Amino acid sequence: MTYDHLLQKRAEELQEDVGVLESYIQSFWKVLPIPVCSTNPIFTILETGDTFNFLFEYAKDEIVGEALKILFVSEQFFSQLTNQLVGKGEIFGFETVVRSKSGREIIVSVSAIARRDEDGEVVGYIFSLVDITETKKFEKQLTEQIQNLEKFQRLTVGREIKMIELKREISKLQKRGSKSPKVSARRPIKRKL
Amino acid sequence: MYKYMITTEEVKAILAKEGDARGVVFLTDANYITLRGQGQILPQIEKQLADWDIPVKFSEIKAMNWYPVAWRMLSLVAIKEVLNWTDEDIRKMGENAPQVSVIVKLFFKLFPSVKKFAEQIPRYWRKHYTVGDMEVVSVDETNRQMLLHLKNFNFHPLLCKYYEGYFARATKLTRPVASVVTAKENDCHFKTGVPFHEYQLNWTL
Repeated sequence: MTYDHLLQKRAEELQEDVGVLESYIQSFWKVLPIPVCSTNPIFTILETGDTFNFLFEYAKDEIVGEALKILFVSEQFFSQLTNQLVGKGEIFGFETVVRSKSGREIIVSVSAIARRDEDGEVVGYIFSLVDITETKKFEKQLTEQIQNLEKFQRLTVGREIKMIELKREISKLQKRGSKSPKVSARRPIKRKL
Repeated sequence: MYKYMITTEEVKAILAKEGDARGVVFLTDANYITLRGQGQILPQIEKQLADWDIPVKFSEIKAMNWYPVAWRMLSLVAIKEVLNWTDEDIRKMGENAPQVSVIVKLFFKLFPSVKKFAEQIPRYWRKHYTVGDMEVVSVDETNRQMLLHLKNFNFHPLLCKYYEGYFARATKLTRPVASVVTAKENDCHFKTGVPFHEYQLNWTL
């Protein structure tokens, strides 16, 4: 086999490998249960997963090319978030409110990581925006229930403590009473006329 | 105005030209046609291509595989003919391509610095095509203008319109969302015989 043939064979193998990787990446974007998107270095959306499109109610061709910040309710928060991301290269678990196409507000936990080229330069970012609205709702319910329980506990335990105090008081009084001359309750005190 | 209804001789002449293109170019076309609600027409386009002995099945194309540029060119002609599209429709299809291209998403370094982005352009071209040379002639950051020359790539004038849209949108992906980017072909090999196609890009932000 000549060197040219070897090169040709190698090129074909590489093409096959690239094809496999391409299909793997496509499947990954499709089935990933977490809403993810990739952006360029100035946070323009370049790619979205199916779960992301579903959560934000956009068709892929509607949202690709848009600024990521349009999803965020607070522009100020978005600036803080991206400043931190640019500085550190990654962020994890930032909670905020985003908005879907129809205006539905969603609480999300935002994480992101920078994509770098071979020279270490940032060529884009990958974001995950996990919907934690239900978790937050549940958390709120739990907090309310805990507060109610605490209130109840304060009431019942307070009453209990009061009862214990009363018992102690009674017991003290009884002790004191046993030391002083006994007065029979059964015998009425004769009063002098 | 050019005549796009193609003759058998013209088809043969195009098919004789060498060079390969990534499969992604077929896929972005198919994606745009489907987006416009005309996906059911794709088999008709495939039939037109089969009549020219081009065995393209859009659903079987692999984005990263190489296919003859001539096939890509004639697929564009077939699309225009079957769908009875205008040049503007072809330009819009070119505009849509960078937005859905897997190559743009995986390999393009969309640096916000215009100069750095410009340095990447010849490399981007080579990611898509084995023929043709893309040169950045000038970058004027003050007047927000860039001149590109596409050389040794003279398949058909229909591609010139497609690239106007393509270059505009690819550049827009590096600019802030509010920026308006325009691209126009200033000089064309098919019009004046110059050995290149000159594209002028302008942006507002």
